[in-house]
Amino acid sequence: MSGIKTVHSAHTQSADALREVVLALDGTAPRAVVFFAGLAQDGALIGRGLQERFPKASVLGCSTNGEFCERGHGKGGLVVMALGDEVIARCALAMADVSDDIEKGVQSAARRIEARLGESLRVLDAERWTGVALLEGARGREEAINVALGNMAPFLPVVGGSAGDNLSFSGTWTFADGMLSRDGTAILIAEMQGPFRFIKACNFTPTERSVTVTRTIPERRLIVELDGKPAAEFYAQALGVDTHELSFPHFLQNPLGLLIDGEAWLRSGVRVEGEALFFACSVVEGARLHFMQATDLVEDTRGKLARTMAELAGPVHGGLFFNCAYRMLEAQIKGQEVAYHRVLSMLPHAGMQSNGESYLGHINQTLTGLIF
Amino acid sequence: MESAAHPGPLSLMQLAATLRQRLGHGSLFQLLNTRLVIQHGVNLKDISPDQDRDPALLARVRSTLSRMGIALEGGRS
Repeated sequence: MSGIKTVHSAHTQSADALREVVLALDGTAPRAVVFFAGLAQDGALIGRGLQERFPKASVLGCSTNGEFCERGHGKGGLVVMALGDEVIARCALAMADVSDDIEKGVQSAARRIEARLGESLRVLDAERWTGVALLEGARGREEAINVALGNMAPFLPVVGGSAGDNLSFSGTWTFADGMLSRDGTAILIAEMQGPFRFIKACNFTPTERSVTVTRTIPERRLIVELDGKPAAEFYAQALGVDTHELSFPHFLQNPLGLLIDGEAWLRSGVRVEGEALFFACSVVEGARLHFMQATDLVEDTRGKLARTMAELAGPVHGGLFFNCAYRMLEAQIKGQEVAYHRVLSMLPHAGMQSNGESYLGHINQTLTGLIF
Repeated sequence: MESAAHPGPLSLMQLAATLRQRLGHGSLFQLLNTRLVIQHGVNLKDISPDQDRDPALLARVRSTLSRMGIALEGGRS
């Protein structure tokens, strides 16, 4: 193996899952190993087992709301992608402690990565280098983590996702550098051997209708007022329902979105809190948000994946995907789960159903990823 | 460090022009602009008159650029 190899294990006992995966990866010599596992899996056992088997590789992983690759998908099991020297020229990783001072934790991780690479992250050529981050995903800190990643290297895009916990938001885990953390973000910086592209796909297009966010409590991810009116009332009226009728299906089908160069960056509502709306991502006061119109999840993903793969203009080794759990739920509700995973399987891949997605910032209801 | 003689951009429009001059109109400017839209709700390609007149917003954007190590005077650090 010099390209990539993916493995899926449905075992929920970590020792069994690890054994199956290690056996399947026999004969490989990866530069990096990424794993996604069910929340109840023993992440330390799996991570250390993979590190022991592949001592020269950068091993990172996290808990999920479900894990998938082209060989299978499920919840509670284990998916692994091993990336060889045909894909990654060199790489380094570190665990950022994001339990307290996030900026400090990310900067400290960046210094360790720089020491291992012998390069300053700020001067890396973004045509050749990229970053992947597995973020702590239950405590609402992804906005600050993304800001810190941007401060670390503003011109080096990092793509990733928030670790999952079966959508309980009770606590996630990440693994990097031989350690498991319940308050950490795993950061991998890699020099790629060939061209790569980021994907940021959401099956919503902006409508003409937009609204200005006039009052928020960002640390609680609350939008208090939209156009100077109570946010819950405004949003309900826009959807043609009473405020007390607002429920999860309304939020799932009607995210709001920033519009940047014609492209939607979604912010998804979760529930009503008093007169405010609790979102899965904070929004700044003064931001203009567009109401969105849904398109077909499967066809939208197929089109965007095909376009991104075509941009590589050469052989495609695979993709690493972070798929919002809202998209997973939409696929399940609409009976599109099999079709959706079939579309992702246009290329070898590994991914997780995430608590949030990251690319230059924290995003909702989106598929982010790296295609190489 | 900016001196009193060179206070740097005094408006978001001026700041956008300075960044375009430093970074060009390509992917570097685009990356930075996306981060600023997400963090501050300000799109340097489409600054509203209200935003351009808001000194607090200008200060926040300058502070963010400073944390990223992007100097508005004397080049990119």
